[in-house]
Amino acid sequence: MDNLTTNIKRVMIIFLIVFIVLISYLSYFTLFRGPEIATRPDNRRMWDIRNKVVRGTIYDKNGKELSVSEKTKNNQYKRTYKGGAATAHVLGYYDPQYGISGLENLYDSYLSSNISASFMAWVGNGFKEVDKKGDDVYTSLDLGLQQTAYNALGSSRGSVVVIKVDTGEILAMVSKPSYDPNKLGEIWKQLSTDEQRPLLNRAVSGLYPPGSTFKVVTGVSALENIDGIEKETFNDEGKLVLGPDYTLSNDQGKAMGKINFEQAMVKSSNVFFGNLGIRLEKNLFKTAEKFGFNRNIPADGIIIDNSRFPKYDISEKGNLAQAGIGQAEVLATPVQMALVAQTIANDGVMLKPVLVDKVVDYSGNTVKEFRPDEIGQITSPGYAAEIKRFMRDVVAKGTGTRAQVSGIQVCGKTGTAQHLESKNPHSWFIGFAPYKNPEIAVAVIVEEGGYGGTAAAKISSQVMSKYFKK
Amino acid sequence: MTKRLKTLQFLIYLFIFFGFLNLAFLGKPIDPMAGVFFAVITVIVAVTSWVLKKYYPMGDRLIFLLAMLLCSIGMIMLFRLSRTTAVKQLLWLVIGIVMFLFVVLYLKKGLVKYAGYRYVFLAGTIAFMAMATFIGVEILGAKNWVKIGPYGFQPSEFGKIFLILYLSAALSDIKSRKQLIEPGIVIIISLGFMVLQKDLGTALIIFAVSVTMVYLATSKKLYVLISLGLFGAGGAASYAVFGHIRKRFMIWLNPWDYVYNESYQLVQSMYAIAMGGLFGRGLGMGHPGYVAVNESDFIFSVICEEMGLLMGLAILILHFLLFYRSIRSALHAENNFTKLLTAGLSVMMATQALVIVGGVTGFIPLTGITLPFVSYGGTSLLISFLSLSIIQKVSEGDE
Amino acid sequence: MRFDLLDLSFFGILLKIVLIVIIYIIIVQALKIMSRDVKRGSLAGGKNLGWKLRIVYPGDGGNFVEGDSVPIGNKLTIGRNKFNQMVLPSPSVSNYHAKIYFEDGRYMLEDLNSTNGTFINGIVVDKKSLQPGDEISISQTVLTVTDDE
Repeated sequence: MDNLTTNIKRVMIIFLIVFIVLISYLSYFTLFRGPEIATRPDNRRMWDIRNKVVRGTIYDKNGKELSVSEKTKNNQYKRTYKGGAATAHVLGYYDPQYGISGLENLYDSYLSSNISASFMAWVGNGFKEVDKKGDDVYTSLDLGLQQTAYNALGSSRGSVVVIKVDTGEILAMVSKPSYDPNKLGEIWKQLSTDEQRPLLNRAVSGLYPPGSTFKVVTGVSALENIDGIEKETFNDEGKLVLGPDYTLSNDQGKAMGKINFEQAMVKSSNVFFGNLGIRLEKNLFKTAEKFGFNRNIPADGIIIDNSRFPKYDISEKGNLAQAGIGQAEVLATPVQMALVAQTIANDGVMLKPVLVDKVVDYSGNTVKEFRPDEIGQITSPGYAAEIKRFMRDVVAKGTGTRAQVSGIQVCGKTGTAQHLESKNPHSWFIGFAPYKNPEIAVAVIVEEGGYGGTAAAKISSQVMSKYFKK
Repeated sequence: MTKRLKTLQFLIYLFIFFGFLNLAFLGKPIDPMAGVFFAVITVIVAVTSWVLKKYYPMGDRLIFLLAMLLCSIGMIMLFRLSRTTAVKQLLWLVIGIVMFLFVVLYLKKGLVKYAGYRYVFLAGTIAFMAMATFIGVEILGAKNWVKIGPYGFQPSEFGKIFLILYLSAALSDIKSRKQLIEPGIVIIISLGFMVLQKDLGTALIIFAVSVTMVYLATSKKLYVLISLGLFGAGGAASYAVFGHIRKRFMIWLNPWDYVYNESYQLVQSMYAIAMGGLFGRGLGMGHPGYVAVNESDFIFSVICEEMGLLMGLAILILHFLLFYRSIRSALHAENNFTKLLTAGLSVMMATQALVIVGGVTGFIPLTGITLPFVSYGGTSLLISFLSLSIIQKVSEGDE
Repeated sequence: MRFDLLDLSFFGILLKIVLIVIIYIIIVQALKIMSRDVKRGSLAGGKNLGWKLRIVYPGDGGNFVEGDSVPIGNKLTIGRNKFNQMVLPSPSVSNYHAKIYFEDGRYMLEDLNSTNGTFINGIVVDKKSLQPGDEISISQTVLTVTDDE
């Protein structure tokens, strides 16, 4: 044991290393994983903290209460949703047992803010007891518009999104099927096992093939990448033969004859746009991504799932053509398509979609205020203006006449999205109004709503009418 | 050097003062008990330190102070958790200190003579390790408690000390591989009983201590590797055979999947640590009630919750410093028995701290052992101070 | 983040920070004390002065003969028991008779409560520092402290 000293030193070093490892792990755990762990819904401590103050109220744009904490008989507080099923998805729910979702979750730190319970608040209040309450959140939603949209969907499944063109504010966001959040406990079991997935917020998480509404994007891509496309004419014989076993057809194989770009858009020629899809190949992919496909779209108050535009190779002519008309494996959320409309309406500038206008604390101070934020200049004002014109004509004399609103020039694009052979296609409509100085952009999808975009267009008309009559 | 020590001691008093000051304000309007505790603990530290200085000025005084600092942190937290538990801990602390002083002051004539009691130690080891299996009761999933009337104790805690004493005697004169057989068997028997009693934490500690002592005695890395191999094999075998071991691993790997059932304790512990952040939520401001066994096994978690990550790290650092100073004393000893004894005891305390902190943070599977000096527990405190007294004696150059 | 996981009571925050600051100052102090020790070299068995004990008269048997030099090292234990470093197997030598150790720059001789006592230069001592040339008597054995190489 002569070299005991060395041995002991070795043992010391080994233990030093182990201690350092444990110290590092502990630090990493607390600092990096701590916040995420602490906010897990089954952490009762957080609920105790949240319960220290009365949760803030969520209002609509006009000050109408949407989500309020009301006192119950035994001095507890229960979250009450004044908008019921119409606002269920966008607001989310707040339940100690089932957790927190939607806006209630994204703005939880404001709604549960315990500043009012602090020492400084007491001091600031002249050393008097303060009403302990969290911050109030004023959303950009318009309750009347939201309810109109919800009712317009009737018994169909689908989604409606309405965005203010010049600010990005979300005026309405509806998803159906929905549920009554005031009865969450009673219906939870049924909700979580329902195949139709009523808990899903289809506006941000529903991924559908956009169908012909995607032709707006293809159109922009064509203008940007094919010189002289506006002057080109094309012989539409009703179908595009792409190979020995693959043919792309118009709706019911209707031949439209000799058409130009504008007419192709107005009548929604699959053949024309399928052809564009092949001619543009990678450029269409690039344009789609500019519009937000495959990307995380920044937003406030909502989290938008990524829409998808796959990268097809030159040799996959069938897929390229299909992609040009918004089929193949192209998938979009209703919000994504609403942003497409908003961008065209806004001279090619896409704005960040925003759900919250301002946050006000317990003493009336504005803690956060929203300002319009540009995501980017997606396309030039010139090209946007051209597409705008085409979209005006779609509604005026093309496939979208059902979207008209009396006294207002509505612009838009219809879509029929094939998904499963055995089922009805989805009915889409995206648009904005009025043509001159557009105010709102709309996206509507009616699942399995049928052909021609009729069902969706009708809903858009109802919603726009409500807006413009206010 | 003494000036630095004096400052350190003063700082410790300061720490205890502010700790109990904070606790005092938790009462309405002021809690006088906090003042009493502060006074008692301060007196204990002052008196013991003075005794050490007077009678053993060459000894290492840092060891005792580090241990007392750890005790104080524990005391502060225990006071916050429950007045009665804190009082009990204080009583055990006093008993522990008395025993510490007794050993340090009166057990003269050198430790090395105890090397002759090798077979007494062997008998003691087997007796204590086996005891709980035969006359023990099961508490919280582990059958390692023995009750005598209203008092319970963990015989394996004594078993550990006997084992270290035995190994120090048996390994101090190793010249051939054959001499390793007897200690090897004793170690395996001890491990076996621990596994049977489901006290896996102690099993791990026994393993670490044994391997270290064998390595120190023989300098052969081969034995270390063989032991690790056997441990791995034994571990895998027990995993296959014992359901409760599988359960521990399941809980450790996926704690979030069984939040309300099996992994409840671990999950709540992790919540507590996560909620504490860097500085903690403040004494009295956390929710230690959600954490099970919060005064012993999980005391580290509630300390992190209320006093912060920084305090938790400080505990680990202090334990390492204590380990370093303790094992350094082994270098002073000139005969093998004492060297091994000191090293073994140091490794025992350090490993215990590592295993329990590792467990409550989810780094390694959870085991039911205490954090030395900090956790509540009479047996734990006594054994820790006993080990400390031996180390202290060695640090003074006592043979 | 409007969410303060920490309670906002003023005193609470203050005391929290004070406690943590104090404990880290303690840790730093402890480290300073420890590094002093390492610097003094006592960790590695450090640098003593290299003194030795020369056997003047090996009266109590054992393995020593006159003229032998035994280095003291950092510590040297003397007694009848075989565990000592210098074994004097005579019945008038206690089991653990005395020890010599180096500390604080000097060599100390300490009697371990032996029956017949330890003498330096003819005077019985309990604990005393050594100088080269000092004559140590333990029972019949006589040793001289020497500092030559």
